[in-house]
Amino acid sequence: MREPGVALAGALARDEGGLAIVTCPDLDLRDWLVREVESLAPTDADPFRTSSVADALREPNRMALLVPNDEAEVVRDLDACRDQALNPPRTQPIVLFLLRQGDGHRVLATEAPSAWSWASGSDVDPEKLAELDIDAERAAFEQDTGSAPEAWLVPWRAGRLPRTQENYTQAFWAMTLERS
Amino acid sequence: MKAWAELYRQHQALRAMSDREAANDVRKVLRKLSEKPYAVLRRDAQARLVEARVPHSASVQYTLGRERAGEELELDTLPDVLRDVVALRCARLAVLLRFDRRAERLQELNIMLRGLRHDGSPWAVAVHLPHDSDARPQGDRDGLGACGHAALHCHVGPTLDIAPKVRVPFPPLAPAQIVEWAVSQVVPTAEFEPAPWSAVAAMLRPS
Repeated sequence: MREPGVALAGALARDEGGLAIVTCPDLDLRDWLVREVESLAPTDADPFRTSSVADALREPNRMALLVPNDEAEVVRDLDACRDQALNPPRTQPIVLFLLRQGDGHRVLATEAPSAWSWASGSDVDPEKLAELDIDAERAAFEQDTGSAPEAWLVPWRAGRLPRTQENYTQAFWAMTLERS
Repeated sequence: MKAWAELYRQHQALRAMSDREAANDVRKVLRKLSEKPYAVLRRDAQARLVEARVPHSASVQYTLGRERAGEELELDTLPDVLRDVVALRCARLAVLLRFDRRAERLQELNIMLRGLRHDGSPWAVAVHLPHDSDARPQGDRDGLGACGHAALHCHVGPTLDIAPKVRVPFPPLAPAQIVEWAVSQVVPTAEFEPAPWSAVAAMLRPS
């Protein structure tokens, strides 16, 4: 499983001062993802929110959380302004929040080759990444413990397994994966 | 009796929370713990609080560490000034949180720290809030009662199994504060103290 927090942090760190794109399923979740990026950012990144590309470019030493009012316009602005992001070189990334299948992604794919290559490899959809592949996780659990989650939980629930940190962790995962 | 019933009521009320908000608060604590000069977790620990959603359900969980078994504290690399006050030579922090996203409810919490003292003897602390699932007939009411086995409780001892199994009733603190508390027991430094007495005294002064 590719982990959403790690993927997000990787996208933020991959290209120092680059452009990272975070894809959001809807407007409500966008706000949560902005807060998640704020919580992931190192303290010295000093993140700030803006809806304007000009504001983002004015602060090369702060992480700009670019939350567009008009996604298509913002992507076009970024496409036109890439050179400005190189002079002076940014030390912190611009993080652009776009809706999944929204105008921003459409414009990025069709009209904004410069912005597309700028962000290349630094796009992440954390909501999609968070979904567990239950079959793969069950197979990994069985390989790790030698038992299916349901079978492992029988002695645990009967109090026959030691209450160690490792076993609490296994029990937590077994309960996630058990089939009712 | 009334005090224990009231504590149980507080533990029930504690469960009402948004998973995203709670996770972001935990990340902020992890970030502080992983930044220099007192980094006690590897850099960017906040990114390793892993969210996992069970498909087609409201269940979402957060675990610390790529291997999900928690993370070692970096006790070897602490500043010299702290070496004498840290009683453990190694320790591992585990964070396991389970939520019902739709109901905005904390279903289960396990925040555990186990390690070895300098003489090699084991030591563990673990805060648990049992799953309150309908599938458990007793819900989160384990043991004999709300005093001997409070819903939100903390084990402290050489291991979690050695008798007497001490279960300290825990105040209704959110997951982020419990992580802060657990680490503060192992690395007693002002840099990790979220509520220094001077700040508490200032808050208590009538305005």
